[in-house]
Amino acid sequence: MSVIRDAGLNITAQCGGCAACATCHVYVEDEWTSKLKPVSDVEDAMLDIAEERQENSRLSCQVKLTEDLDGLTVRLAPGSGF
Amino acid sequence: MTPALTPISSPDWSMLSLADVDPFPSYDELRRRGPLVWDPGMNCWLAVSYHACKITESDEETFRIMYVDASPKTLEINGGATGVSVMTGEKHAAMRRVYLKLLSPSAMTKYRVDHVLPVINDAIDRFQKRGGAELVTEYAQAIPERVMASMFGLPWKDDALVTQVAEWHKDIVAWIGMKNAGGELMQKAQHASDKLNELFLPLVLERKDKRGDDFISLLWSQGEKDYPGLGVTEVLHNTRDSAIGSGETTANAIANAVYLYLTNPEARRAITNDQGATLNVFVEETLRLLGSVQWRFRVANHDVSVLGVSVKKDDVICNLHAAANRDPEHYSCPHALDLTRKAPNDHLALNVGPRLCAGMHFARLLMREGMKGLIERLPELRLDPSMEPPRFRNYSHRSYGPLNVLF
Repeated sequence: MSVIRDAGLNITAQCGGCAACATCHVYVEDEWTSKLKPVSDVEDAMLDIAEERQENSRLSCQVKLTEDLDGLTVRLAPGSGF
Repeated sequence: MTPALTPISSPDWSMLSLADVDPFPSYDELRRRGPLVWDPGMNCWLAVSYHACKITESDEETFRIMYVDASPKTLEINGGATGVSVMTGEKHAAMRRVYLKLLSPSAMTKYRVDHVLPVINDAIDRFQKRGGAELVTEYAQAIPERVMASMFGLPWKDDALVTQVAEWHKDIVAWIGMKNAGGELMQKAQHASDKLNELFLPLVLERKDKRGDDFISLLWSQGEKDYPGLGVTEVLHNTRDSAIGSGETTANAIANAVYLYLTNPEARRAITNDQGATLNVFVEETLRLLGSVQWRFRVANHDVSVLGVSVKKDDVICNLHAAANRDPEHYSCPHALDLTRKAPNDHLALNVGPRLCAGMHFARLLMREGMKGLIERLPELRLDPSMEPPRFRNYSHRSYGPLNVLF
């Protein structure tokens, strides 16, 4: 989430990274979904609030970037923009 | 020595001396004393740095809300123990999700058409032919008060009712802003709370079985899906919570937006030309620069160091958002209205962390549409130079006023 914001892209991410607002909703490209940690119960509940949830939906604030995720591609979901 | 005469560099200085005066020069001075400064008058720490506020509000394990320690009476006056603003833990998260669904970005389209635009157009209709108005009372305060009445299915054109409800909320807000103090403030707040319950309880009971598309019915319907054990108590408390949470706070924010619009010709031109993205940034800059609710309290659960300042168990921290939102360590040119900021909503006016304002999209809707109404219908709007100039009034909830205008 912070990487997206720091890059100047249009993302609301209002709660600051604690899965409390669903305004950093992204779609993860298929080849990367299995490399991410599973969705927690808290994230899952909050994703239910996000617009147009899909199988590959994640809250970007819950994706912790590691070296294994170098090259990760996500798309901003509807309603995540400011 | 009275608080007003105590220099801000003194440990005896208190923020209490800033009521009804421009606080921002003092916040800058205060920040030089550290990220957290003890206020003997408020009997709490003042967190004046952006990062200090963010740390304390993002960590509920370490910093609790004051309502955790509140008496049943205090919770009752505030609106009720199952209101989203006073609950914690799983129940808070579950009720918050109810609100977030009811107040999602996609829900705004219908609220805008059904409730917001009719109220805004009616408000302007009432004074347009006069050629002048006082926009705090006739516009900024009127909009959220009447919109919420409309949302609740109340007769929103009944001025006596709407004004009375607003007065009751003001009495409760004044008490909340002073850490739920006792005495006269509490007595007035108790009376207001009783009256609000008398107003809302019959509506809550009626709509349990007879649902419409009003907000109380929606609370019932969404709450039954997402909040285990939802009943009359929960719906009443959250009707009260949503009513007070959206009233004076949004009124102040609208008034501050109007003030900045009237006093910043360059920004005025920019948002007149672009009532989309540029207006959205203007609204965020209004929230950052002037806000509405000036601070939020937290209490330390144990001894803890915050940015090098030792905070003891049970010390109260006043997260001074109004100061943090102008922290030069976080914002370049912090006092400037800048419509080109990279992350314009990166402010604390709507809180941050797990207690971020659940009605944030609705507040923004009212601010944006409130500005659009003035831009479109009163293009010659200007401050009346013959009348009292606006100043940044009040204390815990602030806005510029009076806003006497000609058009």
